Amino acid sequence: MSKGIPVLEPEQFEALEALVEQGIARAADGLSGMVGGQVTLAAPKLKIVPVTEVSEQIAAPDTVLAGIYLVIYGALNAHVLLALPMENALSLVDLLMGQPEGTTTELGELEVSALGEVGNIIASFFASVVGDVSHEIVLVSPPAVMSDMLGAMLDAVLSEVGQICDEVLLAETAFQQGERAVKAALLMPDLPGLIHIMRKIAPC
Amino acid sequence: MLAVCEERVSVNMGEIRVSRDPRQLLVAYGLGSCICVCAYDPALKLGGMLHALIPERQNGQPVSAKFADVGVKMLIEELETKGALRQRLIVKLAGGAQVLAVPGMTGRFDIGARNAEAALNALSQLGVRPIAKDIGGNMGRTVLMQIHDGKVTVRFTNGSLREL
Repeated sequence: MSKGIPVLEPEQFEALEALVEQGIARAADGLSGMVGGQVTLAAPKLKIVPVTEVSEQIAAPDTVLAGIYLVIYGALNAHVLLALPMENALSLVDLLMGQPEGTTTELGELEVSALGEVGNIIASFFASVVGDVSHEIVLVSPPAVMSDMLGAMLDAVLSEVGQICDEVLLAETAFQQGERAVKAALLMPDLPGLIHIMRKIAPC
Repeated sequence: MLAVCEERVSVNMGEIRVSRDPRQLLVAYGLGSCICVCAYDPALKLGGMLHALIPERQNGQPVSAKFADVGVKMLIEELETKGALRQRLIVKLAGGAQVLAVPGMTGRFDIGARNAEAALNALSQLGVRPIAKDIGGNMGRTVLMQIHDGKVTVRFTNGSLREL
């Protein structure tokens, strides 16, 4: 078993992988409903990563990206960061607003709100799956939308995580609709909460 | 503004790098709430950089440069081990921003300010006073330190540069 989660049995880790996949699939359905087109997702990859190496798993830390960030809290505490190149973020806004691609050239208040809603849908659907299978209350914070270097967006999250453990479970996937792709990273630092939920779902 | 250096050495989260190679440029990429401390002995042309992400080490936690308080001490000690004199050190800080602002969670992500404070306190306890700092704000930074002359440059997310 991974160094970061020593008390999860292999069957529980498999159940965790299935849970993440189910959660992300439901999130893709929600996003499809929002954009009015089929959104697919790449099979999520779960890996245990040292806190200090999370950024490089996604992109170079000084890469400027648009980020949509939310906190999942309650029975499971987790951080969700959707990170995408700015041109994809602008393109996504055009898609959400039914505009020709290239119409949106910067993120104003309305555009930020639209992207925030994307994050809200993805995180909420994911949290609902976790809540459904565990029969626990899992909630989602309002979204924060920003544009900055990837490392800068991750720092505060990793500082919080790094006080609890040296490694995190990182789930990576990408939502795709046509040519557009939104890479998503889900960090799950709350190991006691995660273990509690996984033991309920897959008691061994 | 930046000299052409042959080798960029990345100083990642939780790391300290010390060098006296004049061809090298120590770089901490994408700082948000993390704090970067640069220290340079001009007589030896010896420089070091710390990239810390947590303000203080708690009891029982292993000693690590990921903690600003302990990391500052480790940086200064490593430089002194290599011959630097504390009283000669030119120290500059950058980072400690608050990039995340989640509605309804004000204060949860103010760790940048605490990182900066912890680093400054640690320096003060060692009798070292920084001559320049660029801390706080809401924008990411990349910090670059030239070993051949100790020059420290901050590059912001919007592309602007500032020499400390």
